[in-house]
Amino acid sequence: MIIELRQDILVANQKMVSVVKERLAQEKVLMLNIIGSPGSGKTSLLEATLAGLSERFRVAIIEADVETKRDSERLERFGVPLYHINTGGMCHLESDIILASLEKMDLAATDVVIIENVGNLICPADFDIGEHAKIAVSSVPEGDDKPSKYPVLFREAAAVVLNKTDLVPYTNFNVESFTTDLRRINGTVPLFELSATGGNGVQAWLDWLIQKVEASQA
Amino acid sequence: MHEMSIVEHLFGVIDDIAKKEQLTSIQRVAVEIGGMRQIVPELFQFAFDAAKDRTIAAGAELAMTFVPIQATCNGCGAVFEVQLHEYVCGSCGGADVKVTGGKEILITSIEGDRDDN
Repeated sequence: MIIELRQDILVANQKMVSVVKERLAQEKVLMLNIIGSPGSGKTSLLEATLAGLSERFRVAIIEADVETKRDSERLERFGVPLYHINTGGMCHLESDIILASLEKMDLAATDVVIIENVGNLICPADFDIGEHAKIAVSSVPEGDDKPSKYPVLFREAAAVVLNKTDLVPYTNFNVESFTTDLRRINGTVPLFELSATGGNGVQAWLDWLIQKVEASQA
Repeated sequence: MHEMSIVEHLFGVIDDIAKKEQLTSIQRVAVEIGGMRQIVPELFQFAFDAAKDRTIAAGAELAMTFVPIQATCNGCGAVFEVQLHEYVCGSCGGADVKVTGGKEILITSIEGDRDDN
C-alpha cells in the first residue's frame, strides 16, 4: 500500500518552536540567534554587545559549543545570566534544547536572549529555534567570498555583521566585493562593518539592537 | 552534516506513521526537499542508509525530489525561480524580494505492508 502524505519532517522541532515563540511573546522577550564560522568573533561580538547593552537591558546569554565552556567563561565577568550548552558533536542547535534553557531562565526579568550558536555556516541556518532574528557574523580573515559560498545563511539573516574590519589593510579582503555579493543574496539586510575588539562601528550595531529590543517591548 | 540530524527526524516521523497505519515493513520512502535546505543528495542518501538498519524500513528505497527556490518581488510582484542564489527580480531588477518556495522538507509518501491479521 502507498500512503500519500505531505508532512513536515522537522515537525518535532517546529512544535517546540511554537512553544518557544509563545513563551517569548508572553514575556515580551526578544531572542537573537548569532551564527558564524569558528573564529569569526561571535564571542567577541557578544562581549562588545554586553558592554554596551547590559546596563540598559536585562540580557541573558545561551552559549553553545561542541566542547569546552571557554566562551561562557569569557562572558562571566558581565554578570548576566549565562546558560551553557555542549552539543557533543552536533553541528547546530534545535528548539528543544533552547526551550530547556528558557525554562531555567526568569523570562519575566529578561528583555533579550542572545544565543551564540555552534560555529558553523550551514547547519544552524537550517534549524529554526524560535528566534526573532538570525544574525550572520563573518570576519575579514575568512575572505570576502563567504556570502556567495554560504548563501542560505546570508539570505535568512536579519542582520549581517562583518567583523575584524581593522584587519582589512593587512589582507586581500575586498569590502566592495563582499557587499556586492551580499546584496545579490539579500538586498535589504542591514550590514554592520565593525571591529568587536577595536570598537570601530560597534555603536551602529548597538543602535540597531536597541531599536529591536525596544520594538519588541512596545 | 545536518543531513544526519534531518534523517533522524525523518525516522521519527516514519515511526509514528508506521504505528498509526500498523505497517510491518516499508519498501519506499519519498521526500521533497527545497533548495533553501542545502541538502547534499549523496549525504542524505548515506545518512538514510545508515539509519534504516534495524528499523521497519531496513530494506527501503529512498526517493528524493528537489524543489527550486521561488521568490516574489516586493516591488513589482513578479514571481520567479531563484537561480544560483541570486535573489534579484528578473523583471524590475529589485532586490527587495521574499522567498515564497524552496524551504520544503517533507515526507510525501510511504510504501509498505500492513499487518492484516
